[in-house]
Amino acid sequence: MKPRPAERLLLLLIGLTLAAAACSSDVAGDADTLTVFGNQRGADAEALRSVLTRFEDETGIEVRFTGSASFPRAIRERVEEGNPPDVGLFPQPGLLEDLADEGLVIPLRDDVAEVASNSLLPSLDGAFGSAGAENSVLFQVHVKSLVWYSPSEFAARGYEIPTTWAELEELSSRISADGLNPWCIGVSAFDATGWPATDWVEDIVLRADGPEVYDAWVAGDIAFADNRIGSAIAEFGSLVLSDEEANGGRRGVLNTSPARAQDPMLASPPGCLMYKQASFQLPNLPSGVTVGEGRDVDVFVLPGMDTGTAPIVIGGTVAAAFTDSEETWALMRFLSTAAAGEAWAEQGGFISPRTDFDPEAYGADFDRRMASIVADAEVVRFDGSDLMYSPVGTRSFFDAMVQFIATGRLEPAQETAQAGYDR
Amino acid sequence: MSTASQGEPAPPKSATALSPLGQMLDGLRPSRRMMSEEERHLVTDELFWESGELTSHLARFFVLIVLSTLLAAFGLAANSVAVIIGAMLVAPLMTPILATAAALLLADMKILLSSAAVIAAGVLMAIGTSMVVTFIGLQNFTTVYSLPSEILGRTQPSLLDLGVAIAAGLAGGYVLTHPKASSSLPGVAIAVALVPPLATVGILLEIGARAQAGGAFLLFLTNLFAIVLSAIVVMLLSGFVPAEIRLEGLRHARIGLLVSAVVLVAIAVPLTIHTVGVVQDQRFAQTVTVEVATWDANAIIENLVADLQPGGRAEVDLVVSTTSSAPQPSWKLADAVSARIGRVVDVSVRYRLEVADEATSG
Repeated sequence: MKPRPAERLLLLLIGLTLAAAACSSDVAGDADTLTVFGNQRGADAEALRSVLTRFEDETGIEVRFTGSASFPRAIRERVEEGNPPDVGLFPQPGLLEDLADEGLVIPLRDDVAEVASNSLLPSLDGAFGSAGAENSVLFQVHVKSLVWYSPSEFAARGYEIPTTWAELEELSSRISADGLNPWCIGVSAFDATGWPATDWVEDIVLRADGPEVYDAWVAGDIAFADNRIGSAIAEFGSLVLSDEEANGGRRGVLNTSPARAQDPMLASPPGCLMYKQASFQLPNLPSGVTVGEGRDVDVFVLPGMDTGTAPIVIGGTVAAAFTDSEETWALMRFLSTAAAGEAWAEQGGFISPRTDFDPEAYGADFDRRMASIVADAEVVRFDGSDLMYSPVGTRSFFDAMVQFIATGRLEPAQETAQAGYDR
Repeated sequence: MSTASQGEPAPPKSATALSPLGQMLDGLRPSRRMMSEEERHLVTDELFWESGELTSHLARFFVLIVLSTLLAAFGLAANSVAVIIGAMLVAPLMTPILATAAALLLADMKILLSSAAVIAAGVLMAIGTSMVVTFIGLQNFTTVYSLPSEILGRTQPSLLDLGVAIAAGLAGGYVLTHPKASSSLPGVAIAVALVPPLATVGILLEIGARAQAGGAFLLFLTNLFAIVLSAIVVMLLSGFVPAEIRLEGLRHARIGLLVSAVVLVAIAVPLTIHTVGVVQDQRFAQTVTVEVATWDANAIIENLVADLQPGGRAEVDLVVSTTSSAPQPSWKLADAVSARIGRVVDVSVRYRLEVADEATSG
């Protein structure tokens, strides 16, 4: 029997559907490109992408960037497997120097080193301590010695911004006495869980004992067992952790990400009054929260022991080469210049370490303010854990802080941290 | 519509009053068999409710809506496919939807509007019932992630759902115009599944998951429109539209066809946009699946969400189980996928370590 028209059409439709389903996509392959590897993801990766796009436009050299949350482990694996990127963007100059000591990094070419050092902010001289940074160029910095707070809550409760460490301790006690939590804190961060606590300890060591002790500690010449380091860890515990309830107590602190830890501070009534965190916290604030003097939140510099310019701990990114080609050095030279940061600075979230960086290029007032904090500081040091021997700085110091937060016991934590030097 | 707008009289034989789709389909017909008046009445009696019986029809309709939504909501909450299928069989929405299609073709505005109103009321009642059930009985669902897979599976309509709905709509129209095939009706009802998506909407709204509720509602709309569309196609082909409406009642038919055209466009645009997105996401998911296999041969994909975003970025959310204690890092996958598609890709991988161990002691 011949199928009826309707049936014939149904068969046709079924055939078309199958044909459409059988189609598949074809995608373009990859040409020869420079590979850049770092830890930036999400919005940071996008901003970095715009920097690299500018380089591509200027030179015609294609670049692919990949960022990993487990960068310290991943970069070592890549390099050891013989599959290094052309350029690595390191938040940990210490890890880079470890790789350089093993002969896995191409030393800076003279012309690039010259471009980089000529325009470095004078305040950043010595920021890397005795470790130095001979194999890399500094691309961007973050201010770490910052305290985020709500100006309106401070005003309503009659709190004033502390200008010395003693005033900070007093303010903290007063907030506790008023029945509130002084501090928010959260340290959960994949492979790097514990790092915000290391920041606290570093800031305290730099303030209480000065840059020489800081440099010696960071270089491994002063052990974690040293009383000065022990006191700093203990001071962190008594100041920040003893009354911590805002993020769910000690266990909550271990399970709260630094990106979200300030949230109780922004609640009404506030769950805490202060949050020490770096300038890169800005994009992690909930949308709609405004930043600046008299806005929803603002920052003050973590005070020094005495009045006067407080020492500043910075974080940042250094670039290093793993291949020795003209294209690689072109990118390294570009990353050493003020111009490289402009595309990112326009969008906000970038602070340049370069003297010739035009302040007008900052799209965000906040970044401009951070840049002047770095430029005007008398003592600037790079984040200690990021400079340390990497099994310590990217592992055992973190583990020690997790242990200290969980148990409150000082000596076992000191031993844990020090044990990284034996790896 | 272009030939129709040139006005009467109609050119001989060609389907003057047909939309371009209708004309195209008309061209496929070697014979111009028309349904007899009797056959047509058989169909319309089934679909169009006489005013005398309207109250009892409506009462039956709403009772069945509430009952089928209850079944669907409990079935979804219990993650029980069997109960959800029960709800599909009880669901009464098919009648007013097919009536809408028929009314569009017959250019009967009164029935069109009343059928549409019945559908709208049924939709609201189903969502409302499901919200009440969730509020009273399903308090243990607090976050989206605690929801059973039968609910989550209805929050992201895919091209497959569209395909199912179109095929089911064709079947529905075919069964309706060929009464001898009516034993297939339960199958049609199961395939198109109108009430479970609505129950899902209600549950999700009640727990405050608006985005996911939107997805479930889109699934309902996809089903609804696909059924109307394909039912119209089959009815046209079956000679359901009487000749006088086609050739003589031009003015009358024109209104109906205008409505039909507007609705068709209104359906087609969002559905096409959505479908294009779904197709792209599916192709992207295929690409990612292939790359995962090269990335880590030991990794078994447990869950994959691959999303091409409008801004040019792409997101991959992957859960893999692996027997390796040193699984491949996510950056390698991100690298490979980005190289394949030439976009910025955000990759997030969760690893589930599968470890087995056995021991005996005596």
